[in-house]
Parts: sequence; C-alpha cells; structure tokens
Amino acid sequence: MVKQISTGGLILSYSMLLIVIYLTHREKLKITKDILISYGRMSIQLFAAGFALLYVFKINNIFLTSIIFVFMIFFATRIVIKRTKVQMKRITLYLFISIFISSFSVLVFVLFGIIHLKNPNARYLIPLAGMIIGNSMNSTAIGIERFFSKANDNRELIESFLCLGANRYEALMRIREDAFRSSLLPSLSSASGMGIVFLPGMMTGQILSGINPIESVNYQIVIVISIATAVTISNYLILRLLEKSIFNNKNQLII
Amino acid sequence: MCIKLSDVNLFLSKKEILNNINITFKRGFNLIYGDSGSGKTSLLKLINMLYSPSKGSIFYKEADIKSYDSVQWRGRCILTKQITYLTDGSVMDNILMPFDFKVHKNKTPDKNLMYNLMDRFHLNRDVLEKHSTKLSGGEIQRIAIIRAILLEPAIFLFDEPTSALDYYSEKEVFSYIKSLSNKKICIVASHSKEAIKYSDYTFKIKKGTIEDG
Repeated sequence: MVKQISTGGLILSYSMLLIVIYLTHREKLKITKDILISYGRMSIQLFAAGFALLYVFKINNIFLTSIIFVFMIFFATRIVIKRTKVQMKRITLYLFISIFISSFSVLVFVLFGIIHLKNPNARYLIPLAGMIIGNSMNSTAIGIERFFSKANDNRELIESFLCLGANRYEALMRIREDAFRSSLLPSLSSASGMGIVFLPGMMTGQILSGINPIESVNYQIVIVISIATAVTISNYLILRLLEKSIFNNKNQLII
Repeated sequence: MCIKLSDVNLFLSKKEILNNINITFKRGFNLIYGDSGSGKTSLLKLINMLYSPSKGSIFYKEADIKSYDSVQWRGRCILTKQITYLTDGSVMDNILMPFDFKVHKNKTPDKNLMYNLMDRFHLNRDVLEKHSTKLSGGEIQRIAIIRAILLEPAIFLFDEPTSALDYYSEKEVFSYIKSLSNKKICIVASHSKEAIKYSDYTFKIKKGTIEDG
C-alpha cells in the first residue's frame, strides 16, 4: 500500500523552501518575492488541477476532455509566444496548428494503437497529452527562438542563396537545419540519461504509487518515444510554416 | 534583348537610395561606375528582384519583370554579390550547391570549363578540396564568379567582382566577363578604373542618380 503524505507532511515540505529563500537572500539575488509567488502559484494551480481532474475523471465526458485538450494547447501556445517574444502575424495560429496536429496524431496512435483503449478515457488522455504538449511547448520555444535569431543574424547568407535562384525552402536550408537540431537536442539528451542519471517523472510516479517497475518501464518507453515523435512533428511543422512568414510574395526578406 | 529601367526610384527605410533611374542595359559589358554608397549594389539587387522598385518599372524583353516568378527570374539573372557567404563544406560542395536548387536542376556543371576558369583566374586546383572557411577573400570572390558562370544564366550581374583581387587576377576576370558579354547582358558594378577599359557601356552613378556620359 502506498504511504500517503499527510497535511502536516505537506506543510513541513514547504519549510524546505526556507533554505531556498535564506540562501538566495544571503547571496542578494533579490528573488524572494518571485520565489513566494512562483511556488505559491504552483501550489494553487496543482490543487486546482487535482480537484478538476477528480471531477473530469469522474464524469469522463469526451467533449469535456476534448475542450481541456484544446485549452492545454492554447495555453502552451501562449506561453511559447510570450517566452520567445516573437511578434508576427499568425504565429499563434501556426503554433497552435503545429502542436495540435502533432499531439493529436501521436495521442490517437498511442491510446488506440498501443494501449488499446476502447474509448478516449480522460484518466489516460489528459496526463499523456500533458506530457506530450509540455515537451512540444518547450522544444518549439527553442526552435522558434533559434529560427528567428539565426535568420536575423544571417540575412546576407540567405540573400546569397536567393540571388542564385534558391526558393524559400532552399534559401533557409541552413537556418532551418540549425533550428530543428537545437529544438530536438534536449529530448535526445534527456532520453540518453534516463534510467542511469535519473528516473523520469512518470515512472517515478508509477513506482511510488505501487506499480511494478517493469510495467512502468513499458509505459515510460512509450511516453518517451511519443514525446520524441510529437516534438519532431511539431517543430517540423512550425519551422515550415515560419519559412513563409519571413518572405513576401516575391521571395524578398521582410525581417 | 535588353533590360530597361524606367523612372525607377528606390526607398529603403524611408531613405531614398535611387532616384529616377532611366537606363537600358543591352547585350555587352555594362559598367555601373561609382563610389561606394552611390547605389550600385541596390541597383543590382533591384534587377535581381531582391528589392522591388518603390516607383517605376524594370522591363526585360518588353515585359515587366514583376510578371516573372521571382525564383525563376533569379535563376536566369544571377547576381554575384560582393561578399559571398560560403556554407560549411568543401569549396567543391559550395560550387555544386546551387545545382541542387529546383530552378537549376536540369543543369550539370561543366567541369572542364570550371578547371579552365580556375587556371585562368590563377586559382590552384587543390582549392576545390579545401574547407570553405580556409579560403581568402580573393579566393572566395573568384570561386563565386566561377560558380555563377557554370550556372549559365541569361543575364550576369556582378557586384564589385574584383574588390579583393590583385591587378592580374582583376584583368583576367574583366576580360573573361568581356568575352561572356558577346552573347549576354553583363552588368558589372565597380569602382575600379580598370573596368572602364573593358566596358562597352558605362553608366556613372552618384548619390543614387545616373550622371550623363
């Protein structure tokens, strides 16, 4: 049986943050306020999510689950746009489409093709979607940031391709290559550390909740591969869509 | 067969770069002669469609080049920039790179011509195996010119093709462009006095305006 964390235990865990606050204050990082806000926010958000999930799992309604899925992508999109500080027409739409297509197709394959669910059970769909969308979010933030910074720094290089007759795709070959690679690297390096350097969060959770480690390994492998696939598709799509956005209809650079 | 600029103006970030340009480039060696900052590069970029005129039009065979697909047009009217950025890989990879572009996919580089040009422009053949980052400015410039020639465009645009070359290489480059210009429109932007000796038509440009003569 799994040992539960009591309310007292939970409160005690917050006391560890005092060390965080003490050390950062001592080193004059001036982030005490940020720490309080961030971890306070985290607590409220998680409690809210916990109660919401309790309700969502109980009624297990496909429409409600779908709405949550779309909302998750919507928020992921907003966070990426905010983080990358890119200001461009339609980028929100492009990113939403990229993450939606990649996570939707991967989820359908995993839920029905691999786990063999009869219907899209919220208990499976939402946590899996969360991991897939979360990773797509982090990787597209890197990909987009890299794409624009590289394109801005290499206008001359792009023009050197264009003036020889390259189309948009060909002119951005090097830029896209670089952005694509950077966006995929974190998932690759995290995959190679798994099992030796750390146990991934999902597997840790399953083991703590009493599931046989071998069974949780199967799940973890499926998740890691799903994440890699979704990350690759979403970045490929967003980079191809962005390619159009920095040229006008005469294939002239407009950044 | 000519390229005609008619009442062309160009503004970039609200600054007037070219003012009321009316020129016709015919088959032959057309020299655009002027100091740096006079608008030579912008003029070539306009013809290559990297820029569009703010006012006026550019015609080729009586048709406004606006009506051409920009990629197709650039494939036929190749601009060799003053500074060419080679990409990671050998010099040979860089010469072959544009042959992978859709617009050039029916072409095969003429290796004999390539070797001839290298000899003529005083480039050692083992340069081809070198990594692109190991080249000097002058070597890159000559490689870029050779690459453009191998692509066999209908119109050649060269921006300061000899700015990093010594006197002897410069002479060879200009005299080769001269021989190309028997059949094709070659437009060369340069501030080199040597270029004047080879040009069929010289257009002097100053502060974005073509001067008479």
